[in-house]
Order: sequence, then C-alpha cells, then structure tokens
Amino acid sequence: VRFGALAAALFLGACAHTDVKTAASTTIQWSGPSKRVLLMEPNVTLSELEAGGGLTPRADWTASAKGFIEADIRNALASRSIDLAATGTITDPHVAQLSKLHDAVGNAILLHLYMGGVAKLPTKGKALDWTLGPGANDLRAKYGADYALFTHVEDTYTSAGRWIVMLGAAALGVGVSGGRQVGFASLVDLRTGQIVWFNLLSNAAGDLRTEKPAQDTVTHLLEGIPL
Amino acid sequence: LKRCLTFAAAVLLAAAQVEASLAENLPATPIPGYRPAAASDEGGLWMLTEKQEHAIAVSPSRITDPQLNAYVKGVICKLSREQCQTLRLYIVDTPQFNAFAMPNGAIVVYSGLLLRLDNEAELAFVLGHEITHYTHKHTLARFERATRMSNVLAFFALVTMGLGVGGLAGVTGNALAANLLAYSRDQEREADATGFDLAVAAGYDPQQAGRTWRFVSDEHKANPRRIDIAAFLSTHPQDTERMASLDARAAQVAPSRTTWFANDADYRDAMHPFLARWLEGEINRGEPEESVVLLSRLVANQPASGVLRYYLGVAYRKRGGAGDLDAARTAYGQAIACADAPSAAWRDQGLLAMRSGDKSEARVDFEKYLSAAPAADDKAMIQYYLAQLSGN
Repeated sequence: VRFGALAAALFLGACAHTDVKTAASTTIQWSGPSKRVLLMEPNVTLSELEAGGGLTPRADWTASAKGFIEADIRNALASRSIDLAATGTITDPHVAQLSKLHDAVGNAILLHLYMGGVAKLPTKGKALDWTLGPGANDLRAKYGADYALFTHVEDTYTSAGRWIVMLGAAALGVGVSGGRQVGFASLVDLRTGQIVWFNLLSNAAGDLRTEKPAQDTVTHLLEGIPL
Repeated sequence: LKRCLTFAAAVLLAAAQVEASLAENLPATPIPGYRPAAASDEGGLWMLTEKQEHAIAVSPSRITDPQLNAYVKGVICKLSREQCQTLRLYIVDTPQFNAFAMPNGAIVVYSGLLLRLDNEAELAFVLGHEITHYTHKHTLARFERATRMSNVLAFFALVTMGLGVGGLAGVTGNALAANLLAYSRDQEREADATGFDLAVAAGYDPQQAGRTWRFVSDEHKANPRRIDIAAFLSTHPQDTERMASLDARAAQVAPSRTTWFANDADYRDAMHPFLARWLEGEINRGEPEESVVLLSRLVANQPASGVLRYYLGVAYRKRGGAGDLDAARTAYGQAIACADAPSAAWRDQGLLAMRSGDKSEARVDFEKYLSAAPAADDKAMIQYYLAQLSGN
C-alpha cells in the first residue's frame, strides 16, 4: 500500500492534459491577404512550491518563460503563414481594460463551462458561447490584427523541501501534491469580440524554464487552435 | 518504534537544513535606485508587485491631477529625503480609508483617506508610516517568515504523523498563524513609531498623529453593522492602542520645539477641487451612519462650505432615522445659504418639501434647481413633478 501511494505521488498526472472548446461558428476570416494575430501580453507566473505548500514567485524563471512563450507562439503561427503582433507590456489604459475584461470572461468560462456542476449556467448549454463585446474591435483598429490570442499560465515547481515532504508523506500512505502547470489560452475574433477557441491546460510535468520543454508547453497550449 | 524514530530523526535533520538555508537576514534599508536580484525571494515579490502597480498606474480610478499629485508627493519627499525619487505615488479614487506601501516602493493613497484628514501633518504621519513599511522591507520579512513557518510545520506534521500524534500539527498550525498575526501587528507598531519620527523630524505637529485614529474610530462606532475583528485575529493593532501610543509620543516630543506646523490651509486648498466627487463616492459607500459622523466633523471645521453641508444633508436622508429628514432639510437650507452651494441642494430640498406636502416651497425649489442647472440629467423628471404640483 505504501509503495502504491508513493508511486501515485510520483507519477499521478505526469502527462499533459488539454481540454479544447470551440465556438459554434469558428470559420476563420481574414480581412486582407496578410493574416495577422495579436498576442496580448502573456499573463505568466512561475513559482517554487515550498515544503509547507507556500509559493515563492520567481522573477528570473517568469522572465524567461515569457520570452519562450512569445517566441514559440510566433514560430507556431509563422509556420501557418500568420504574422504576429504583440502588445508587450500594456500601457494603454483602454487596452488594459480589455485585457481585464478578458480575465473576467476567461474566469467565467473556467467556472461555468469547465468546472460545471452547480456552477453550470442553465441557459448556456455546453457550447463555447462567450464574447468580449464589440469593444474588442478597438484592438483590431490599433494593431491591424483580425484575432487576438490571450494566454494565462500559472506554473509551480517542486522545491527540494517539498520533495522530502512528498516522499515522507507517501511513506506514511498520504498523498501530497507537487508542482503543476495550469493555464489557458483563448482566441478572440476582434470584429465581434466572440471567443472562438478556448483551451485549458493542466500538466504535472511541464516546464517553462528551459527552451525545449517550453516549446512543448506552447504546443499543448495551442492545441486545436482553428488557425 | 526504532524505525519510527530513525525516520523522525531524518525528517528533523532535513527540516533543520531547510531552516538553515532560509536563515533570516535582517533586511537593510534599500539605497535609492535599489533593485533585488531576479532569482531572490525579494525579486519574486517585486515581480508580483510590479504587476499590481502597473494595474493601478493604468486604472481609470487613478487620480492623475498633477497639482494634487505634486502636493502629496511633496509631503513624501519632505519625509523621505533621499528616497523621494525612488518612491512612486498613486492616488486612487475610492472612498475607503486606506493607504498602503508596496514592497517595491509604490505608495498608494485612497481618496477616502485624503477626504478624512484635516491637515498636512496628519497626512505626513500616515505617509511616514507607509514609507517605513517600504524602507524596513516589512512585506518581505512577513512573507519569508510565513514560508519558513509553513515549511517547519510540514516537517513537524510528518514527524507527528509518523509517531501517531498527527493532531499536534493542527494545534501547532494555529499557534503559528497567531504568531504571524502578532508579527504583523508588531510591524505596524514599528511603522507607527518610525513614521512618527520621520514626520516630527520634518517639523510636523506631533499632536496631529493620534487624531486620525480617533476620528476613524468615531465613525466605526456609529455603525451598527460593523463587526470588530477580535484583537488577536487582526493584522493591525486596535485603533485605541495606536491613538494612545501616538498621543504618548506626542506628549514627549511636543516641548522640544516652539513651533510645529500642520499647514491646514494648504491641505484644504489642495483637496478642495475634489471634495464633491469624493463625497459622492463616500455617500455611495452605503454606510450613512459613518457618513453622518464624518460630514458633521467636516462641516464643523469648514462651516462656510455649501458642498459639505449639502452632502451632510444627503447622509442624513440616507440614514433615515427618527428626525433625520428634518435634519437633512435643515442641512440643505444651510447649504443653499453658502456661496458654493451645489444646485442639487435646491432639488433635494424640493423633494423633501414635496414629501411633506409643502407644494409651494417644492415648486420654488424645483424652479431654482432648473434655472441653476438647465442641462441636468433629471430635468424631465423635475419638470414632471412641477407639472404635478401645479395641477391642483
């Protein structure tokens, strides 16, 4: 039994899990011959998971993760002949408001559509049917892009102390969780504000600190994107 | 049992090692332009804080008026001298009484705080307190302490579980949580004491330091819905304690100089353009018992202010207790007698007159309102009332 718990603690959920939802009408339309997508400043935080469960945010890891995410998304879209514009650090108050609006809508999608249960909205059904409203058009005008890509990743890494606690607890038959990567990405049609694609990522083995695994994370994050 | 003890010893050894690796190094006052290493705890804290600061910087609630910002920043600079250029000020339009310092040197002041203070000296004591939170790296110290404690607790839980007395960890956890809150209260005391010294060194009247807490406490006491948190569960010392210790300090240092300054007039002039907007927010906070106490005090200090008298009337009307509508009507009347009366004072007086059946007075008030505010949003509504009042 003890060995079983240990094995569970070590290997449980070690693979990446993605959950893609697309809006009913996802026909991608470009307003001109050149295709351009706007990448909103990635909302990314990397932290170390301490022995006692506390999180210590890491600025160095986060900075490199942001760099990897932007570069990998740029490459992934370039291979589909799509040009990427990026907001970088958002300084325009109006763009900041749209970004906050997306945070709110994204959280509502996670709660009402993904978590469901008692939080399920009776009139919404199972379809991805959410919008930022026509105000999103301002981003189209400002950046000359037809779609905007939003990314949000919270990534935690197991510290040495946490490993000891996990192993010790497993020896006693108790499961204690380690670091984990959770995030979501969404694609917004800037003509209408409609969220056309949404992907929830959960991965116990992902790593955004180094180049190759970061590439894998971005591949998972963009899974099923209708571009 | 032997196996258990060996295991416990191993875990304790590991815990001791983690503890040693996180040994507390007393934070040094940051030199101007200081920036922590990205890979440090402090670097991580700054990263989160910068996100927060950036959100406030681009928020539509931020008050960017250059004159008001220059005035408050000027007080920060008088207190912080060489840190002045490092510290960034953000004034936010929100009616709560609050100010806070971020670990990276951003200082946020809510309009609800500025509204409640009477003079520059009171502001200086609050800002001195916040500057101290930054220079003494209080957030970082609390964060590291919390992490260290939860780490030790995790190992302790393992050992006690291994020994079959897992319940001990729960008790210890509560004790550590209480210890962390006590630590936070000690930091507040330190910020009060050091902030006091900064403001006094700049010549601000020490007698003003305790007043703020007395007034805030008076407001809270008037509110039957406010529930006080038990002292040992609070992150801040009780208002009464802060008042008493600041008053005691004031009594000590007051004789050391013959002239102290509070700059009442400068302060009032700086806040005057924002009063109506902030009072609108104060009323909308939905705590009319507190608003009545606050506005009664402000009116007593500035009896010629029609704006203050008008909002005192609104607060009475919102409170709506026995005699409050009469008090509101009196306050509107007194507001109208002041040079800077808002046109809404006529309207609200008219509405109360209509309610008590004084039709002719209501008509006069509404007509005066419409002539003072011909483009009012509620013009159609008032015209409808006028038509009704003339109807019979």
